[in-house]
Amino acid sequence: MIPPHVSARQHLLTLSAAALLLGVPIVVGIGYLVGGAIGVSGDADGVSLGRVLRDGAVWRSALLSLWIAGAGTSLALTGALSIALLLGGASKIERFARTVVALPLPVPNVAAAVAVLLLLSQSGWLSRVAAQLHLIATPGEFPALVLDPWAIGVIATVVWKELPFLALVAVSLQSLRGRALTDAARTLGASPSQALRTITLPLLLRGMAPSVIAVFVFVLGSLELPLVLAPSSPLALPLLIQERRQSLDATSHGEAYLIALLATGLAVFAALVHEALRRDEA
Amino acid sequence: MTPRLSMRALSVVALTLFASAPLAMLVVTSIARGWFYPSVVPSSVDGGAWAELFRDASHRTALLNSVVLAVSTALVGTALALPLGRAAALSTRGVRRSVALLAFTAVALPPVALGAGLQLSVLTLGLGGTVVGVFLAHLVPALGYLTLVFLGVFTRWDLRLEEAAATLGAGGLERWRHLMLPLLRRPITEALALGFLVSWAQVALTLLVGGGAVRTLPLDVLAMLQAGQDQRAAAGALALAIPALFVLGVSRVAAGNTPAVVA
Amino acid sequence: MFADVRRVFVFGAVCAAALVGGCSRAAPAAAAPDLAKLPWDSIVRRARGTTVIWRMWRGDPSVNAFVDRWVAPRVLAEYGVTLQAVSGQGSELVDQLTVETQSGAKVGTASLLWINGETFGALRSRQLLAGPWSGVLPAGALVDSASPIISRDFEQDPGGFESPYGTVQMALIHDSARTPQPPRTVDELTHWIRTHPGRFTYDQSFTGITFLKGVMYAQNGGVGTFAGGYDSTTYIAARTRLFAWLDSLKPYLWRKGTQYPADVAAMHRLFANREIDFSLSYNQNEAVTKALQGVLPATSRALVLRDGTLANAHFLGIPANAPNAAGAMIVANFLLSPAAQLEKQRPTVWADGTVLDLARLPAEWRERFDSIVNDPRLVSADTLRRYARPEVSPRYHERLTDDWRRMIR
Repeated sequence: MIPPHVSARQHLLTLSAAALLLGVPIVVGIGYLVGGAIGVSGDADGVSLGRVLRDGAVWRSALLSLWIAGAGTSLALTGALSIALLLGGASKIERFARTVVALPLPVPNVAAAVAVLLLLSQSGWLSRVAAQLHLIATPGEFPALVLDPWAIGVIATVVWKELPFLALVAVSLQSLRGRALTDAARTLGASPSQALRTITLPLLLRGMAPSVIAVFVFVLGSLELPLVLAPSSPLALPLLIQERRQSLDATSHGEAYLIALLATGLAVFAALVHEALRRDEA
Repeated sequence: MTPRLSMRALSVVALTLFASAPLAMLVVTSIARGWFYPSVVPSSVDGGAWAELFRDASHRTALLNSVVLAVSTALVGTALALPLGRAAALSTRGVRRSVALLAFTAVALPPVALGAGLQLSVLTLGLGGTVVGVFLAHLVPALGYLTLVFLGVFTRWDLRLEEAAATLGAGGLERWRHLMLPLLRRPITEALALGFLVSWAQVALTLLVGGGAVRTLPLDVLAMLQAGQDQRAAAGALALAIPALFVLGVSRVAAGNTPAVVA
Repeated sequence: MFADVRRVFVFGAVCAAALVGGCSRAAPAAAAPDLAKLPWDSIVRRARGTTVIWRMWRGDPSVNAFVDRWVAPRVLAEYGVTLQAVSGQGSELVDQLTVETQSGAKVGTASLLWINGETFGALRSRQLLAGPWSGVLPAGALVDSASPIISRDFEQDPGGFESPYGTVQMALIHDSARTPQPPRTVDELTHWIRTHPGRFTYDQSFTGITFLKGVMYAQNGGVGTFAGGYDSTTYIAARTRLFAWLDSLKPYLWRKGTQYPADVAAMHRLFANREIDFSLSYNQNEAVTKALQGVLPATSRALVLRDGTLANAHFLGIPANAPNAAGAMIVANFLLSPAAQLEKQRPTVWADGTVLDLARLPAEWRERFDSIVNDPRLVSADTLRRYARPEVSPRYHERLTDDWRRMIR
């Protein structure tokens, strides 16, 4: 509650400012999207929700984006948990490993995408090494990891970028509570695998849930990763929105706003889940 | 060496390779001219791409825009988010959760969708294609992230210290200067770094709200890549990555090198 | 409630803007068609001390360098006009101007646009272009107005709403070391693709669609069949043949035709790294300029198909909401000057074709132009001229783009 030395008026003022600063851009932004979709603001003809929902291209794009975000986040989560469990200690080598793995954390998406393109494409560095070793004769024999239907290149970039963040969360959770509780379980007679299965993992997963959702929506909305690395068919959702927006056809224009609105709905849903899972201490 | 230890050493080596290979790839490509398949090692090395990055006036403008945007987003975002997070944390559970929900929504909205909406509002304000307009757009997700940071900090905050200081007669300003700010040093440093990075990496919002007229380094890197200029794109990507690594490193050192729990 | 909240937000943002300083734009200056009635001297006078924002394709460092380091300092020195090139092309321009207009702001950002074909058509039909104005440019007298490629833009009459400044021709790029005997016709190319599985593709952007258009014209008796405005029946019949051809080739394309490179740059990257054996370019000289940049192998050469390859001109337009139409005209006029046209055409600079009629130039300028077109690595001017075909109604391009995305991709 508000402590006595903070004036109630000042407190209320700050709170209203918070609501305004955070809420207004969101409301205005979504408002314009709605306007664009129904053709109030913008040149777009009103488009029917039905037509967009019946458009197979929209669904394929949504599925691809969900696949990228889902697979990328799951792999990054698995890596992060392994690091917390295997390299979460205080020894020199473990601390070194954790510092090294944190390296990609601040690297902007664009930079990461460029690096992965140069490394993983069919004529990238790995393919060249394979050619030198006579494992392949032409670039086409190297597996398609970039501009590929399974978006492996994008997923690899997501893992590279997001594993450090999730590892950071996992390690700190583990050192805060996890280890003590695991030790307690062991003292009470649980086998190592029992303790891992029933105490450590559930605890970590529960604590990491909000961060995992944050990573998931961040990847889902990213424009630059699929722009550089993802397949041309289907297009990732942000790319589909851009393509429809820039079409010379006014109907497509309205569709773009409507698809953007659907993507927004997905994000708001994620925010609700995030809020429900977030530990609200105090 | 026990098998367990060597396994661990091996996994550390693998992790090191995994984390650093893409960066190493950028370093080599940025100084390799005409480096084509199937050569594994570049045949000729030159610093042309790096020289171009700093010599070319439009790249310099982009770099300047990026720095100005990132620094102002970090400063303004932190200055706003700190009191907002605090006020929300001191409120009822319902208010606290609503603010957290709003803040996370600002973070979660796909930039392509948010940008399309903000583009029109920023144009209505007469700020389309200006750095100020792009700054306002960058502020939206940054404020979301940073509010979540300070909400977390102040939810765990011990009010008794402030109250004691107030009882001893310290005014509001004195309390902030001598008590709060020193105690908040770590979260503030982290918030500044986070605010910087959110803006520094931004592509979609800059593209839509800036309408191509506001160049930033990430947009330049994308443009170079879409021009087939891999060498320059690699140099640009490093020019993006190095300051980001530096900012994070400095913030970690300044914050006392302890891991933080964000979000 | 909502309106109040919005007003507060607007107020706050405006305050912030005022704090950061001077962001509100001046009232619109004189419109282009009004200016065009004035004597040129008066336009020059009005333009002095102003800034022109030019929205253009910024995808090639050579083009950027020409604009930023050669044109900009000269228009500043000669006319006191500060030229600032920013990014934006094709449908992005239409999107940007549409949104600017919708927002209710009277004045936009850019004063000059790089446009042609369907972009010109789309801007014109949405009344987003200013004009007529190009008739007032003194350097316009030197333009090769007899050339069908320059006097018409995808069969549209520029009508003074745009001014030409360069010409290009569609070409395939091959590596003379890797493919010394390249196919020279659509039929030979078809055979080549079938005998070299996985080594050919086209991109999904403007250039790739233009390549497909070229094939479509070749399959249907040449571009003449499509001349004289868009005809739906002609198009559907031609599209059916083209898509049947694509279907038959699909298994032999790169990635078996399931994926397509995003743009020409992606094509160049695949080609330079031997993933495919042909790249595309809507500038026949790019094989040489890109080799000089180290983006393509030194042995890269351009190739024009004997069935005819499309050629077009690019133009400059002034948006209806341009903040500085006078300055834009100064830049458009400067770009038509023999000095600028010559510099632009050098293979080491941009290798962009001139729009001037060399016969109208003084002898010394003619010689300078002649001396640069004779680079042995370039496709000869005679060959280019012989196989050049003009573009037809942009509607064909739009339809083909949409249908390709829906039915082939």
